[in-house]
Amino acid sequence: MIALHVPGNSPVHRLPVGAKLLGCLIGSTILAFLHSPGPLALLLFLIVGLYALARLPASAMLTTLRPLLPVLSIIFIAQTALSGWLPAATAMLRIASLVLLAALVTFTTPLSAMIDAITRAARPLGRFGISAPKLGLAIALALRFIPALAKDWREIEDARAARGASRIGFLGIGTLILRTLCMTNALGDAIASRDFESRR
Amino acid sequence: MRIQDIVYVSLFAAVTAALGLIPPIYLAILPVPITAQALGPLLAGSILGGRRGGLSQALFLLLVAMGLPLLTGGRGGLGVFAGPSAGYLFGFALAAFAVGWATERWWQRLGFVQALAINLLAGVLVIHACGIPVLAAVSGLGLAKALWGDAVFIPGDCLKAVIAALIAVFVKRGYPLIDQRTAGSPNR
Repeated sequence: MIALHVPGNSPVHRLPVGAKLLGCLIGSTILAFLHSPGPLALLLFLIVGLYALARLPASAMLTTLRPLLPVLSIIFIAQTALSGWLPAATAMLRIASLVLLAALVTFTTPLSAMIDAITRAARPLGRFGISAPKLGLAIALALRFIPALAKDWREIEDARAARGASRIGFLGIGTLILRTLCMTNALGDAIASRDFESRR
Repeated sequence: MRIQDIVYVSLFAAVTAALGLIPPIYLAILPVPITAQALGPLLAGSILGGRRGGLSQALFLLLVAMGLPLLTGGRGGLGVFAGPSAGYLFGFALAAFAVGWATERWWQRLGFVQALAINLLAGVLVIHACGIPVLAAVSGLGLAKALWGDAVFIPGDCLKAVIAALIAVFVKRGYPLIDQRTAGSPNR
């Protein structure tokens, strides 16, 4: 599985995950309450500075913002028509800062550290019936299922092509799900027979 | 929750992720492409029922938040939850729960028509109802403009409800996971 994490050894990378998540939360709360372009631009400048401190390539920021471009341009045009270019620019600054700040946490934190932080944070949730080991199992299983599903999908496509059928439609998803459900039954039994519940 | 339920929850989190890999379809009559990902919550609810379906989409969102590029177009990370379309993502979990809840209620008589109605009203409608206020707030557009911006996605999402209903009936016949005796009381 490819994660968005960019390995590194900068001060930002070395911060504990909890601190980064908390910082992100505080930062986005401040951003949500700023309504003038000056302070917003200053904060955006600070965030870009953090990217430099983390020694992330400039392309990291571009790949984060590029998928947002269509939505952002619609918002910009509508805002300009509605209330002038200054509020439009302010909205752009705020959205860009929010997204870049949150993405910085993702870029500088390895997936394993993130899973650890989540299962640790989930421990107090035990009294609401969410058990941390089960959450960890669910995450691990889902990560394994994604490439397996992609592989099965290609097999179904190939089988259809071999039968001379035209390109696969969305309904191939039904076949994929039936096929995978049959497989998961055995998987559940396998995990249960290894006594997952009583070992934890 | 039984181990088997955790497996199903993980599977449908992965199904929503895998749907993000299907390339978008462009129709000449629509200004925006149709993506497959929003099928995920509809299918999860229709096939797993409310509790497991909702949890599967919550797990999917957790995976996205952890930084996996699972959303259509390879997006992911905490950033997407700060962006203008964050509301639609939270709508995934709520819609899966609502669709699942309704599917359990009507399980005995569930045919294509019932499944379609459930997927439209409890699925598509719920996703958009969650998405529009956040879009309006984050972009500063105001509700009316956000509603118009949202409208271009409605035809594609209705098509997804049709597909989800077809698959739901197909899977109900082949591998029913909502038990007839316990339908309506998902806590087993």
